Amino acid sequence: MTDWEEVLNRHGSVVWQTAWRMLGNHADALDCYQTVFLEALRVVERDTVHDWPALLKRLATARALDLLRARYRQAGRHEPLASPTAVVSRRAEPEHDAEASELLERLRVELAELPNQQAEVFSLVVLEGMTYRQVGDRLKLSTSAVGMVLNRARKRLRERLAWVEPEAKRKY
Amino acid sequence: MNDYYEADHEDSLDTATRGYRSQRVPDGPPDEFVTEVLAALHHAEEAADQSVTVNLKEKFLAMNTTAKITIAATVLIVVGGLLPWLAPSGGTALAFTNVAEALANIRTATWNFSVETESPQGKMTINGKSMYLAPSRERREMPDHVHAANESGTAISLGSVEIFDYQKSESISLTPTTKMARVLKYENLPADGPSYSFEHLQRMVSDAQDGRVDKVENLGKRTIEGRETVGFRISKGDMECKIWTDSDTRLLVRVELTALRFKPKTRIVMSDFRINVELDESLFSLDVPEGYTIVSRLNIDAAEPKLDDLAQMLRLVAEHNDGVLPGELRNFESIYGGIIKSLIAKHGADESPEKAKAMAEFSANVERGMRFVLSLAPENDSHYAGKGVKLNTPNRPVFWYKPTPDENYQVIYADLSIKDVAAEDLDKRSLPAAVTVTEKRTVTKKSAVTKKSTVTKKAKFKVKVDSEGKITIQQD
Repeated sequence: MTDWEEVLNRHGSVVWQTAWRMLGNHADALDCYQTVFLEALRVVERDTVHDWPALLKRLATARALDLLRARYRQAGRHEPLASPTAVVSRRAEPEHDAEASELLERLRVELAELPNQQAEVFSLVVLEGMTYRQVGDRLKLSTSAVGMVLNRARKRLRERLAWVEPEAKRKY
Repeated sequence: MNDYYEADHEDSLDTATRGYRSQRVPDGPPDEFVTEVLAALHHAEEAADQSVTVNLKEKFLAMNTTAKITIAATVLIVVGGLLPWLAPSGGTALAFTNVAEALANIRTATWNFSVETESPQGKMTINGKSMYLAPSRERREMPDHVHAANESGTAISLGSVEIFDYQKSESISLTPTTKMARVLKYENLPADGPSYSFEHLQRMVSDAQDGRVDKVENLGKRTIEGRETVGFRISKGDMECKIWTDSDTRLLVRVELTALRFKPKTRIVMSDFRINVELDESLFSLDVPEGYTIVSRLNIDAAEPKLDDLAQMLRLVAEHNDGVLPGELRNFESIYGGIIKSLIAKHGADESPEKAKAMAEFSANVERGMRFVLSLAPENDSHYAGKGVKLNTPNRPVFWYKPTPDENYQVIYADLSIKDVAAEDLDKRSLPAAVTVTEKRTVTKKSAVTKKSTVTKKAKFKVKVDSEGKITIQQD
């Protein structure tokens, strides 16, 4: 029998933070949190879990991506956030906070548009900081395959976000 | 192995990634929420240990609404982990238990739907959103200015917000652009609501689990919206339902409902399901909002339709069609074309309270006849020969069918009288010189043991009436 209280105490914050960062609002993050642990229950029934943080991060990312896709499919691609994520840009001026928030929201939109595997690999490696090996174990991919998928995802996201003028280029 | 660009070479993606990581994540989730999740997980484990098999629909209906997560978790573990997907011959009904139970315990749901029709006038798709609040409330929203083109090229507009409460047996239909409302009260409402309601879907799946449908087929695996799903097709009467659920969680991913013999060809697709989300109860209120005009209040008898209802429908359609019976029974244009033309002639093309009221009343009155037609199965051996026939033409049979294969035909005549007649005893004087009606039928055989129907033959039948008036029914 799994000690779920221990699991939630130790690893609940991983799920919460991943869900909140991916989704940017409280209600969706709660929804995602609940779904992730119910899914984890099913995983435990089939298999022994050796790496809870990796499993939970993967489940949280996957379910958050589902919610993002549903969100943007329902509302059109440019739904404004009900409660904008607080993003601190590298520069402290308020206008740069707003710009960074907009760019982050664009990233969410484009992640929802990516093919599922690319979106998951990019989110887990780049956004959540997992290693290629960890991601490969969870997604049943070799490390080289993870690298290839990641490159494709990056290329596509760069193209899609290229219309947003990056802060660093403004001085030129 | 994460590589990052230096600040000098930073682009939008890097900026966005940096922004993602620097988000201020609030503390959470709330302790009481975590406690609920924990309770749900414990309950689910206990339920699995006891190998509980529950009648989830009954349990759900009796349940307090605050027991949401507990039940969802129970369903997932009882349904999801223990039974493999089986091939149809091995026990699709067993595999279907997973789906039926997962559906029965949903507390709230939202989804998108599209109604796709295909007719000689072309294809049309109406998109909308639906919401469900257990145990019995639904809200359906369609865009403003939805028009259904008809043969004459004119249009009708459909109400764009409908709210149903099946327990109260009431619904309202609101058109925000015209601020018109229709209020309907139902008697004898079926337990599962209208044909594309969530409860109807739950009941159809539950019937499939219990073997109360014509056929259930396993459609195998398919990737939908990036998720691995397993699909089933349920056939019952004139309705076909394809349902895909997530391979792991058994939660809904996509549903397709088709009325097989209805015209225009119509398919309803339900997708983008979100299960057990927070929904404001005010979305399901039956109070007509301020500023709206109630154009009609109707009482609808939702009891199982009978042959009399078809006769009534034929009369109503003929009254708006210069006394001529409809050309076809499973054809929207045949049934509604006359009333639409007469309302436009009387009230003009624009929407008005008078027109809306008349359409609502007509729809309510023909609805039972339509439902009777859609309930007919191949074994009823039904035939319609009313095209071009004037109401009250003497001794002219226009519709006949067998309630059960062993009974005589029940016949509606052009004067809308109904008689019980053996095939060989139809009044010879009523028949034209020679008529041949050809219909195709799929012959199925139902096993008395497994209760499953299998197609044994696709046959073509001809109903011939010779100059002596003798009727023969031949199978090619």
